[in-house]
Amino acid sequence: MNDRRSNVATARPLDEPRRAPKSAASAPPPKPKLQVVPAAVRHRRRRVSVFGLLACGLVFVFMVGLTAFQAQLAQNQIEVDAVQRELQTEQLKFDRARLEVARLQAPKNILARAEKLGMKASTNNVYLVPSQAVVTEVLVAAAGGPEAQVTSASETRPDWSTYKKTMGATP
Amino acid sequence: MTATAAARKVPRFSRPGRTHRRLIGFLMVFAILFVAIVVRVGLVQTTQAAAYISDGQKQRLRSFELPAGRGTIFDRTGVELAMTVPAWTILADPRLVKDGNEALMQLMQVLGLNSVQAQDLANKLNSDSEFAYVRRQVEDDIAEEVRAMKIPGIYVVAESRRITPAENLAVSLIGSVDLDGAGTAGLEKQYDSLLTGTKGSIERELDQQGHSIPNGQNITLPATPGDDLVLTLDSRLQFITDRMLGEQVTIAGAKGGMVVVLDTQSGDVLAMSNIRVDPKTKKPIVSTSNHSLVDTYEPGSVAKIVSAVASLNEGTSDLAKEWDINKSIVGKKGNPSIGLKVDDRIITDAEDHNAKVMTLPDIIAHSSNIGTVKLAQSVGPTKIDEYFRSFGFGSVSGLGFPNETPGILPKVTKTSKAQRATISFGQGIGVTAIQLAGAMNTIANGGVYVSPRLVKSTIDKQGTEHPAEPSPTRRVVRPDAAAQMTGVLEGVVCFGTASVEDAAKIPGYAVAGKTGTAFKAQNVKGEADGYKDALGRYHYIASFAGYVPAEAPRVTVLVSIDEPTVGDYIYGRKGAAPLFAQVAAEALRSMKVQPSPPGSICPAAK
Repeated sequence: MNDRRSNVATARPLDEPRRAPKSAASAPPPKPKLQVVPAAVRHRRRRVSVFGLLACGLVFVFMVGLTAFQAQLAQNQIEVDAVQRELQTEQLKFDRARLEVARLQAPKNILARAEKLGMKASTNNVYLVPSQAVVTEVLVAAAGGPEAQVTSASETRPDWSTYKKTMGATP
Repeated sequence: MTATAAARKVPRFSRPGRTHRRLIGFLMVFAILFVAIVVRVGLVQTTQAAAYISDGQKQRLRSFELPAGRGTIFDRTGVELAMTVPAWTILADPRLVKDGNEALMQLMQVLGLNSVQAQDLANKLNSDSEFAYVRRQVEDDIAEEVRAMKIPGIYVVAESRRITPAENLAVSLIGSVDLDGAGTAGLEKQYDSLLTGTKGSIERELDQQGHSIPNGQNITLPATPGDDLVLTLDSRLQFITDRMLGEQVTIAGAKGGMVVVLDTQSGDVLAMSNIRVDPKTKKPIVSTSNHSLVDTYEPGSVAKIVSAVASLNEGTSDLAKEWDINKSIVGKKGNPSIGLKVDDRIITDAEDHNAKVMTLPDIIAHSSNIGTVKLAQSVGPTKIDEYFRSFGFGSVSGLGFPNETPGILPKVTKTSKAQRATISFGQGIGVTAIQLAGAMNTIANGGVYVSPRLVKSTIDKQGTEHPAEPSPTRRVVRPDAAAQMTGVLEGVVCFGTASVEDAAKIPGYAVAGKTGTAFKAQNVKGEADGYKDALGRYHYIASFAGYVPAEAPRVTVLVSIDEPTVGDYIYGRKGAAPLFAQVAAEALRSMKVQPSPPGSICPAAK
């Protein structure tokens, strides 16, 4: 290791032969003359720098925005999924409720509940039959005058007595 | 060491020019690698793209089937008779079930399996298959319990289930569906294509947690539900009819019974009840088989209406013409029976009417077989056969119901004179209850046959109701002949066979109808009389068919009690007529039919 270091130290061109002094022609070119950068160039460079910075900033903002947008999209999708699940649940509830209504309005169920409440089916029906005069009066009134054609049940049915009189006697 | 020697020993990496070449070398390597990567990416993105997209989608894409709701079956008032509701099905992937016995124990408790079912499930869980049903169409609570167990390889998926909310109401008409929702019997089968919708599907890209991937593929093909069916049935009337028929069957000690209620004018079937006695419990139950449409029986005297009205329509008889029954006596000395000899067969009446002559109204009112044969003979065999067919016998009713039978009506050319004689009063032919009700309805409709109808309308996917076509009709007899027959049939109720105990009378309404007591064919080997069983006993079918109000019929009802055994219940007047009155009264109330005009009900009885 130490040898290597010594080798490195000795590798410098210390032993190169001294060169003759350089002539004027071979003298290094004069250093460019320092001068103040013109304002226009300075401004241009600044504008380029600012534009570059702005562009980088915009790209950065765009990237961040894109990421945020994607995140928001993902969040919204989760919400959409949740709403869809809720929709399915509500649909299920609706179907269950529909079935329940159908079961409740089934005659068997109504009868059972009515009997539980002590209700009984009527066996004594009373029919109120208006007289023909009343029927005619109502029909005339409804038709707008006495000229209106009046029909009644007795007019539309055939004369049953024609047939019934043949049935009087027991053979 | 000299300076020159030292310079020669400058390490290679420090030598100018070599670094450049190394860099170029590295660049070349990286360039080759880059090109390789670009080529690979290019291949992946182009020629192999489809395969990779497909593989990726297989990992992310999930497909769900959207079941199409089977159409609902409503009664005429909008009550659901059959509907489809969501249910849950428990599935297993036996390969993924880690501990089959443990899973079985857990499932047994929740599902309440018996030993046979448990063994069956154990076999499934221990098989090498990829799929097995554990239990189909379970309720919410069971599905939730199974889901909560989180048994590996056991899944709960949504399915639909067919339900009849009113339980067995009109079950023989509605029919049934299998577990996959396909109609297997009754209207469910007949209208299966109409009721069945089109399944839909959802394809969605999901992440590992099951969330939808934003901007991922999301294709939804919505399911199209089946059309709804609105029946002509009145569920309330159907229920009452079932109940009343069940009670009557019990009282009569019968094997079963049938009731058909028709809207006279439209032919709409308002109720069709089929009751059988359960052989085990001996209690009447609503039959799942529609006996009114698929069973035939000999109608007995109800069929006399055809012979009678045919003679009126043909003019071979009128209401006043007297038919000489006296000439038919063939009884020998010591044999008091009165009969009519036709070929080698003697036709007798069920009861001795003690009459020498009878008018047509008397023949029908007192149900004389001999008189009816004479009426039919006056019309002629060919024409009588035509009348029977015109009244709907010998052909299906037009309902299109699965397995509906046309009955048995032998061709006139293939029947003997004696056979034709018995057919004229309802023995020797086979009819269905709907045919018999339809025949009676023809008289009620002024001589026009109206095909019975079961479907009132359909409701399409958009909810638009489409009324069904009106029932086909045909004129069978003249209106005046039908009107005369109505009067004759009122006589049956007022003075005839159905007048005993006012069996068929309905307070406030004029009733027309006909009783029927028929032998039921037994066809026992070695027994000459085809109506006797092995013990030599007869079996009967007691019927009554009629309509009401007689002056403007609105409802036609047929009642047939199958094999009544108790006392006079074997006769139509006792076994069936009272039930007719009860059912018809309920139908009238349901239809809000105005009572008959005062004085028009059995006036001659005053």
